[in-house]
Amino acid sequence: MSRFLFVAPPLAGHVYAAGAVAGVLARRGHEVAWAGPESALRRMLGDGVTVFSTGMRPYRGQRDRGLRAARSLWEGFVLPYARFTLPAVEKAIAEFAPDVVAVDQHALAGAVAAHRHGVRWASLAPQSMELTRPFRSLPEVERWIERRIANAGLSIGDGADPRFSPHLVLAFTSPALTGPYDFPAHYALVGPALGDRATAPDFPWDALDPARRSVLVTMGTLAEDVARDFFPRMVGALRMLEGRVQAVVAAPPTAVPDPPPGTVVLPQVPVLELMPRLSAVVCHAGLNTVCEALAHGVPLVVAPIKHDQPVTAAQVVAAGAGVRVRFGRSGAGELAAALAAVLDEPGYAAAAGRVRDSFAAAGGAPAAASHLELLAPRP
Amino acid sequence: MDILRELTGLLRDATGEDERWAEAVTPQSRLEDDLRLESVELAALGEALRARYGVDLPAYLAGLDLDELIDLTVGDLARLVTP
Repeated sequence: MSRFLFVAPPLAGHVYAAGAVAGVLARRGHEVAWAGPESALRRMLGDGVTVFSTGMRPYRGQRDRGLRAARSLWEGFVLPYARFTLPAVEKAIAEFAPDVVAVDQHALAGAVAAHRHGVRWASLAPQSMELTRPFRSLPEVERWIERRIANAGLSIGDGADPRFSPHLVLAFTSPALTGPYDFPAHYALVGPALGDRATAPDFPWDALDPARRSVLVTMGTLAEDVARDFFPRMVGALRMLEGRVQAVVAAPPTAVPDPPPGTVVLPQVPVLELMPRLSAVVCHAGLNTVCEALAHGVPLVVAPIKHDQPVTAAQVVAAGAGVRVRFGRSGAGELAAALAAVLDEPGYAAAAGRVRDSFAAAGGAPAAASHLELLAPRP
Repeated sequence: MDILRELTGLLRDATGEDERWAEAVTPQSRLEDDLRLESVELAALGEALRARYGVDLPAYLAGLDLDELIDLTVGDLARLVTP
């Protein structure tokens, strides 16, 4: 049996994927611990996990979009978070003595600390940005990120990039979604890691109308403020389709004015439990939500806001599994047409089904756990 | 200046925005922060610039650093397409 330390930022899409893998390892009898902000990790993982608390930093610049959001992600979160948490992560490694450290690509302290302590480590890629080089057409942006990492003192060893383990990079997607890309041999694309959620929110299941198609609208945990301008247009689209579509909207009710009758608006919904009953998902193209939908063969309308979301949205369109709309500008008519298309044209659901099959073949959390087991030194 | 009017027209085509929106576009308007251009709209604008002026917007952007990209203005595009 081995010891595995997971280092993750306090962001739902990151923690849920890593948590599913950690759960498999624990059930196989391994010792698993986490290094991260304790209260945020416990909220997502439950009280049963071992946490070496690092504290956390607020994320400045959440409202930014486009390349300004790329700059604020690195300057306002990833780099200060790595520097702030590094001493605590080093202490966690010294105390827990893991055989393998599993490091989220946006929790760089884990890579630096593992390298310093001579522990083998893997990169976890729960988002699309640090995987297929989406900025390769903007080489100065790629160089800017590399320079900022180096200037922050976060290079490892011979100047290697802490986003990319030389031993193992685990990505929670599959080539059916990324498209053809020449991944190095130590990259494993295992598909989404969908474990049991520690706490699934309550849901009024009786409110779902079997005579109408069910559609989930969710714009992500980071987007609540910016999405306030999107929901009124989305409500307009739902009104146009209200005879045959019933929406479940994951948002505070105050953000969704005058939805058509029967619309369920809740701040939290049990997304995985809902998926088998859905005909389409409208979302911000966060990789987590996209993969949860595609793992169930549910086609998508994607309205990317920032970060890796435009990359993932383009992948969904290229796979044929959805329609892309403009988060900031698409009006009710455009949104209704996009939703009607993925509901009515069977090609979208068929393509989503092909991605679902590729995910199933990729193995998910158990496959990711097996890759991590192989990294552990033999006794 | 005629170039500004032409560019504003192309921006309207790329975004689907109306005349009132177009009237607010100036050479100082930043594509990202002020005009809120999304990546699909920027791609559409690039196609339009190639068709109208024969300029290669992606190649131009590839030469800019992050701060220059964030601060890119309609005036920068006007200089790009002015022979």
